[in-house]
Amino acid sequence: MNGLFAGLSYAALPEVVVEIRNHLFTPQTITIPANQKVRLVFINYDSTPEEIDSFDLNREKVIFGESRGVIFVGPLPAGEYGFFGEYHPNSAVGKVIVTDDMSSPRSSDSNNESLPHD
Amino acid sequence: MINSVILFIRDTLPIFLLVSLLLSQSGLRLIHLLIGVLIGLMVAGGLYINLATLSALAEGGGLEIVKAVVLLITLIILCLLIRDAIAYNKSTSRWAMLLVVGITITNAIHFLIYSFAYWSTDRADISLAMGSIIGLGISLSVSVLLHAVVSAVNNAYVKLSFLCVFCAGQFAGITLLLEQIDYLDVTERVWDSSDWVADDSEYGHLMNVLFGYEATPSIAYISVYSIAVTVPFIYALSMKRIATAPHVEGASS
Repeated sequence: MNGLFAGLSYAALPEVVVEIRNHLFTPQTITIPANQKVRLVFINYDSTPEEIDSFDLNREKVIFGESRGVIFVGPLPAGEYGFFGEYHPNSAVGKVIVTDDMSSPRSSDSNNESLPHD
Repeated sequence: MINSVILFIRDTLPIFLLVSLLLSQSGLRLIHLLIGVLIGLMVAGGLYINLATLSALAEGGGLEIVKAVVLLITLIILCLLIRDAIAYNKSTSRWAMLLVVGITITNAIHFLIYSFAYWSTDRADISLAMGSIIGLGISLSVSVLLHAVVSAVNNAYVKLSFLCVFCAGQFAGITLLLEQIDYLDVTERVWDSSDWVADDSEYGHLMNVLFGYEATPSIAYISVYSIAVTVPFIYALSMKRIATAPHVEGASS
């Protein structure tokens, strides 16, 4: 299921939560609005750290085991931006889709979890 | 194993390249630089031990802030190194060692995180060790080649320029660190050269380490890069001019 940007608040930035379990990102695909700064919150449920790396987003951050970390991205133009887990590049793979049209979420995938809504 | 090679190269190649660039300058000895590497590793180890506390600071941006501060201090040290090198001052060894300490800290910390996390598990098998040995071999080979190329240059200013350009690539990373934790707003990307050399290609990796190549650099990145390349020389030449300026005796009566 594509990630929905959640927790929209006029006082706070839009936020998307990504979980790391068994060296996999959930959701693997995140959709965020174009030209807007967004908080990506990574929650690592594994006992070992993972380094979130993205050449497209120019981001690199270690998320320690059983902890969380925040990466700010944007404002970004519309497009697709890949990211991956540096320590498990074959399994931990994700993508950020930046779209001009956020009026409706993308179609969901039944295998993926839905994001928590605040 | 391949991932171990890549991670080893990514995190340790900058240290090897810096040592080889400094050795190419005149008057610097390997022993001082190796001491700098050792001190840098010890400091990185100390940071690693306190990493949980450190990274929780500043709403999760503690490690980025520490790295940015270390890089900023290292930039100042580079200015002092260039100043003394241009003035043929013998204290360049001290600054060179500190420069190595700074660059080692910011790069080695990631390698320590990976090493301690995965080498202590059941996965610490021969493939991880082999990957690191191969990575070490590649890093040594590239640094020896770089040393040969830079040493062949006769002009001391050109040699120092190689060093400045390399360091600028490291220092410009400050902008990425601060953007990541929202301490700096993301600025517009100036160009996109990913069709020519992508960041995740072999050439992209190598160019990024050698001189801070980014396929999509932001205005902030280029600004910091430009400052890091030019300020050390401007400062050094200014100090040299002040030091060699003739003293005018007697004020006007």
